[in-house]
Amino acid sequence: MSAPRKKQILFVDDDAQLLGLFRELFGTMAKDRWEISVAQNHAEALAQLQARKADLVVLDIGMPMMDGVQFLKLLGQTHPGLQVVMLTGNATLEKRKECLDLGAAMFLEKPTDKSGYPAVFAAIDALVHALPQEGFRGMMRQVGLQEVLQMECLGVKSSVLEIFTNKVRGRVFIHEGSIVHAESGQLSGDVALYSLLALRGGGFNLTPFTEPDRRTIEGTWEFLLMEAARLQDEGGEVASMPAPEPAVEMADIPDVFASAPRGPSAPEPAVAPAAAVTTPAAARPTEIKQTVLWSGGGELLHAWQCPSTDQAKQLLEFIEQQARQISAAAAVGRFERMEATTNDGRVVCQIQSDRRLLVATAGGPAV
Amino acid sequence: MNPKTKSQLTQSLALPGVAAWCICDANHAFEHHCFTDWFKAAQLQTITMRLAGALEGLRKRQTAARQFCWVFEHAQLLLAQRTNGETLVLFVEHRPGLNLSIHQAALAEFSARS
Repeated sequence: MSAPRKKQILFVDDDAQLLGLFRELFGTMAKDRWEISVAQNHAEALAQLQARKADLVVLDIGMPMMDGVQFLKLLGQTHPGLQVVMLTGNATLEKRKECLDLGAAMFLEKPTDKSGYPAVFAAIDALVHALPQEGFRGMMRQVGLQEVLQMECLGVKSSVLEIFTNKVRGRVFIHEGSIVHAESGQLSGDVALYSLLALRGGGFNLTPFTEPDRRTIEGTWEFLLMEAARLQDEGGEVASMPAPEPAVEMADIPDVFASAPRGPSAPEPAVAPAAAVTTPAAARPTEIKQTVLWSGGGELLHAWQCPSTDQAKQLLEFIEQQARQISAAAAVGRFERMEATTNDGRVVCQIQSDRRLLVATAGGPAV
Repeated sequence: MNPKTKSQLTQSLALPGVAAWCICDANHAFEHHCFTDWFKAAQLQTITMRLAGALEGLRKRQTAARQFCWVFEHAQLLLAQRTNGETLVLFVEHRPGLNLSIHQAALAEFSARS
């Protein structure tokens, strides 16, 4: 049986003496399980990463030219998925949060004397050996999230797809080839999935499956991905246009939507689902005011900030009835949705065979 | 509507994807123009009347909207209404990537000329 491969650990610190200490101390503690390389600045580190892949990078924060936080950000772009541990002599809560938000796996304090190093070693060693042992590691450029999800589902995998941009962080839970849950900010369920799939760029990580707090998605992955693609198409070519146009602008907003109360306990979604609302670059931020979701059979599945679900349901039934008669009058095809946009926001009433959805938003494109 | 006004309206509504337009006034008098043979005059009138009626029905349900977009599998019906009750419906092809901003501008202009 062959010996397990040594873990490649790269330490980046501007203090050459400290790097020597890392090499000596950690090398001894690792007992040939680590192969340690060192770099004194970001340029050296990048050159080393290009020459040889690392399993883990341990990064000092206080470095000249490009500090550790900036370098962490850069690594997130040049080496997505690479595990980075921050090691600093000047730990603050703000720095810790910033680094973890940027994707650092751990944030550790530099020991003040040698007695503290075994604890640092233990933490790094545990992390590097917890990394996946099988499968490919590497970079994929310009890969759509749809393709990643498709690969996972086709392979009947179980995983969590973490998606992140500068403003949005979300997760899609895949269990045995089925998408079972998605969350993005305060959104969850298929609305969250569609909003994540409508993102134009960003990064992602595939991590081992963990059971979500709740499962919110039941449809087949094929249907969900097709639906996401369809909504993106109808939302104004989200993927290819630099500043999508609003679909339709309206003059007045229905009172039933405009008067939604905002209770202090109700969570407020930060970003509207891109599938339902497109926002030009110059538009005000879009904010969801209320959502109501019924099953195809009319059972109320979810209501948020809706002053009267009965009134909303009656409205949708009226719209559906009118749409049916229009469909019967000419070859316009099946009804999909009715949209209204006002100075204050936008309303979308979507009617599908398996669901009825009402979303009211404020902000977005100015009329 | 005099022929010159109708001609000007037809020119201004000759927008990408527009198959026809139809106007219905408060007395249920219709004017329309077809850019394609997709819709017959009777269909335009039926749908326009139906949408104007739906607008009224929505108002009765405390939804005082003057403009709507009804999206169907093949067509998008864009609707604007003036304060004098005149309703304009644009019958627009429903296809991905069709930018509706100029259609919206045309509807806004129609509403503004009340």
